[in-house]
Amino acid sequence: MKKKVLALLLSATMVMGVTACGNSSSTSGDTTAETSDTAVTAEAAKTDAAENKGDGNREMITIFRSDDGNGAMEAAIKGFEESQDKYGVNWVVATNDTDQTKSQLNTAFSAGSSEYDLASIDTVWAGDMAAAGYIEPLDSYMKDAGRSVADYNKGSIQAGTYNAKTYALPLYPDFGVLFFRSDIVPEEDSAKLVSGDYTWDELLAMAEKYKGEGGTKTGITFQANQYEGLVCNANEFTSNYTKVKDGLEVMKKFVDSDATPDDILVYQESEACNSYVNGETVFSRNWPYVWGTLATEGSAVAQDQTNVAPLPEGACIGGWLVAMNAKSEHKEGAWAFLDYITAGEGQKLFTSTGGYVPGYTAYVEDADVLAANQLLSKEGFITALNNTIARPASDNYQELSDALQISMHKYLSGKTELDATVTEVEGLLK
Amino acid sequence: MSKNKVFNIVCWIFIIAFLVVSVFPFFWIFISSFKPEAEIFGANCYRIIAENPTLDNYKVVIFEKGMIRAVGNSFAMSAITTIYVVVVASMSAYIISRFKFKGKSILMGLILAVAMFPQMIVIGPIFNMFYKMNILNSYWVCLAYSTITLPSAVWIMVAHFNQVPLALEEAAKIDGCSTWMTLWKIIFPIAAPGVFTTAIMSFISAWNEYLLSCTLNIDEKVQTVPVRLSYLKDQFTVFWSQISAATVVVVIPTLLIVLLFQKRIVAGIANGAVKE
Amino acid sequence: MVKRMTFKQFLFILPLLVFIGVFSIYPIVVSLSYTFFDYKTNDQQHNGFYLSEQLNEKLFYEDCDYINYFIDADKTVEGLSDEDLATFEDVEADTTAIMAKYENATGVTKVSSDVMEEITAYIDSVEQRTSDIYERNSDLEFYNAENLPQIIKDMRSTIVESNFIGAAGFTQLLHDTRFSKALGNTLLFTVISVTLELVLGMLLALVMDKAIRGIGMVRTIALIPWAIPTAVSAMIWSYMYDGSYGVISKIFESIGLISKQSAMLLTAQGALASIVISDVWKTTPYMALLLLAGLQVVDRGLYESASIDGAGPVRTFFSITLPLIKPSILVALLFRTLDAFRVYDLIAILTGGGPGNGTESLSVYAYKLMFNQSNYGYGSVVVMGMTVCVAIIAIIYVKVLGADVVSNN
Repeated sequence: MKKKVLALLLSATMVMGVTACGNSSSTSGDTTAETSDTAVTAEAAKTDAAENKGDGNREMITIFRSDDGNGAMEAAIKGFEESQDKYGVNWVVATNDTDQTKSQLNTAFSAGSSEYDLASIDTVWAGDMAAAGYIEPLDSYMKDAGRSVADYNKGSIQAGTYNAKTYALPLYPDFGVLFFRSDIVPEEDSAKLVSGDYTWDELLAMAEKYKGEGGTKTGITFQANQYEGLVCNANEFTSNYTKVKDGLEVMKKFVDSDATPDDILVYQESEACNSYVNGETVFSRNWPYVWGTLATEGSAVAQDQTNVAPLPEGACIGGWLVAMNAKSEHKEGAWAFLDYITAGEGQKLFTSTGGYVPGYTAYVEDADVLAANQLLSKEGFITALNNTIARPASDNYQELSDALQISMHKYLSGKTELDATVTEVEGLLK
Repeated sequence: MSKNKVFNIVCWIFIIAFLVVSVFPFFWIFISSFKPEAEIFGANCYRIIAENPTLDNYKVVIFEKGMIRAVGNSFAMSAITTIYVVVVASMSAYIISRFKFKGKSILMGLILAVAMFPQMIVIGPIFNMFYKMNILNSYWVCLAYSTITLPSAVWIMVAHFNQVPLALEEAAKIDGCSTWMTLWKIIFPIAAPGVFTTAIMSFISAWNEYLLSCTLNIDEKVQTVPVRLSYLKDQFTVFWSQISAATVVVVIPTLLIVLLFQKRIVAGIANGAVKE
Repeated sequence: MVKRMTFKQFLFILPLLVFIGVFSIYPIVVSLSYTFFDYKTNDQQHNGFYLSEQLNEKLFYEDCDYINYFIDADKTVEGLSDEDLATFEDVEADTTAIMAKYENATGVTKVSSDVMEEITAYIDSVEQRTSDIYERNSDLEFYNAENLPQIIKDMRSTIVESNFIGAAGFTQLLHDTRFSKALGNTLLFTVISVTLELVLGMLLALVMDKAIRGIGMVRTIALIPWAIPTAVSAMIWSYMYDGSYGVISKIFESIGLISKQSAMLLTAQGALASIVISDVWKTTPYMALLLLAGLQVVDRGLYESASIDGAGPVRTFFSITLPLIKPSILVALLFRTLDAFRVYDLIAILTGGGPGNGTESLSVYAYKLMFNQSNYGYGSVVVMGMTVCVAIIAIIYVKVLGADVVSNN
């Protein structure tokens, strides 16, 4: 009798335990089952394209990309769904934490998941993902659609190419530029900067000279923390790692100079952006997004106090690409949307709504795109766009990047000597 | 007597110092949550009261970024985890503490060994498991939380059950209580402080969990607070004032619940003592 | 009264075994098996566990397709001699013939050595013939003179050799200076922060154990640091440590703790101190709560008799309280140490391992290896090395503090 009661009780609690999870998970199980439908409705609400989704007969393409909060993705999705009635797009919003997004994608891909048909990937991930066989080569699709690699931004295309195969197409390129205070820097120097015909040493001299004017506290800011951004900045200082010794020496001069903040070695993009937006620095190396920040309420520096110049030794390329999951079960539809958003009307909608630089070169001079991105009308910006440099290529980019960061950060923080660092860096790059 | 007074004063100074240090970062988050983004940095960054105080951050966080749903998910998942962890841990801790069996130290060692591995190592295989069973993006993730909560829960419970005198159970045994009844009616109430501690710790571990949750649950509908918070930045910028507002939204209900829960538990302990 | 366990009681620990088995031991064992392979997910030759030579048929088929695609384009180049054109067509025909065998290939398979030889011979001959043409006609502008050799390189990677390396990963670990540096950083961080947390947590627990009015409120407030997810609190600390706008760095500067506001995260010592402060802030309440639970079971009568004997609070603590709560202390210390040893979020967010890798912890290193560099094989080796270190610490604790947690008194 006692035994029976015990067994009963025991199984009761176990059932309880299981149902405690079971209940909620069965509800969430329903949600999973409904995901595609609800995602459509959620998306529909977001894109105001409810009438298009009503029929429910569309083949759904799932794309994994973060939300920049500017409506660009929504516009492109809406445009795509209005342009045809065969496919719909289900957008899974990724976080803006790029490291996190990368490991989420890698985990899903390595499990052989076909959940995402398309993924928006950072320029430096393409090589790794292609080498892993996670993403689909696009050349045959491009051939059928009559697209040529020459039509896209060169630096971005290079980033998406692995062993001569094109694995990802540019969504938008990003590149390093120099923002400077046109109300402080006089005409003559300003013209010199915009032309790009100057050296890093001259820039440092200018930063030292104009520091303190117009309420500024420092001369120039850039990114020198131990992270991916350091590889980009050093790329620009060392002229695509061709002048490692001179470049690093100058970079160290910048770091040690009074014209840079004391804690420049922990600066990432946001620190550099803040210093400029708050009117604390005369010069600042950053990505083009800073321009948009200048227009927001609370910015101490206005856009008309600012000009943009190319960096002296080339602009490091960044930005985002779109790739197709090799395991996708909707490859035709996935290509249709991929092509639409990287080269078709969607690329125009995406870049003009979000104010990005088009990755499809033909749109760089498109009136709508130009109207949406004032930078494209600036001489210095266009010079920079035409002088982009890629980060060093490697069979294992992340490993190389990690080693470069450590080696260079040690030197810049005064823990190692220049010669040893140069030997190490050049050894790594081989 | 005066010695005692001095001791009390020292106690109070310590408590106050502790509270100030504990609360200060939260206080700073609280005031930052009313600042517009521009006042986080720049000349106004040390102001206590924002120059242009705003509720916009709360609006964005609550209405646009879906923080309420994330708080709900976090609560539900942490509660589920706490319940099953406490049940499973007390059942096994009772046996471990009261019965002799072969391999007991091996079992305890194994449980401890599990707690020694960094969490990152279980993520890939668990993802594959969930993917194959088609239970990604669901509350099933709670089961995976056992890997971070169960080992310490079992150890703590065993330590506490060991402190409960055996005499009480002897009496119960004579009264004809089964093992099951003894556990829930006798041991559980007496070991309440330990159970409460285990519950709170499991709850907070699940509450703080990030890696598993963000790998297994990508769908917005089942995202938890820590994962949702990582949406409050863009590629280069962290929206500090929004993060601050979100943190306030997250912390205040947690504290209220713990406060309520704690009162009941403390009352429960007192009751148990009287009955005894 | 300590009795033998029967089947009935075994049912009580069954759920625990199931949970630990499925969600902890199984995944750990899977990851352990990685350590014996050169397993890298960003390389198709190492993206699996291969004990013998195999062929990546899917990639081979794809590469054949590319060869024909590239040659198709280069055949049209003007000025190409008939002989070279014929060679190109031969290569195409060979390619079409060999790729037909792999039309429905899905992945990596084991093939016979004859097939392997056939594939190698095919690749060699394609390389030979095409490079001859490109060399002979170096004045012509081919579209794919640079692309074709790359495809051939890619094709060679379709022959997958065994990536079983046995214990080589562990040998590598012994010579890995980055590992030993990270181990040193981790140990330093663990010792400092756990010691601080134990002392402060003990004081706090003793105070909270006193029946003072409003102590419930204090206990609840103590949970604040803990209720903020680490990922967030780390970010908030990094904001407060900021070299220009950080309130904590400002306060430290003004009371003279640091020379300049910006020094906080810049020097290895400053960065370590920052990490320790954040960790102590967050986990002292955890420690206190664990110890408090132990204190609450101590018989109040013992304190009273001690005070009648005229023992002061300090003596009472060392001669009565401490021995009684030893098991609680052991458990608290053990799990805090394990946690501290695995520190990841805090360091990743506050310093990223900088300056110059001066604060990189073992977890950060392992995470970078596994998730950034996709080197799961060696990453798992590092994790194993780390676990061995933790195990040693755990054994020392149990030996020094006594193993009375496991056995009933």
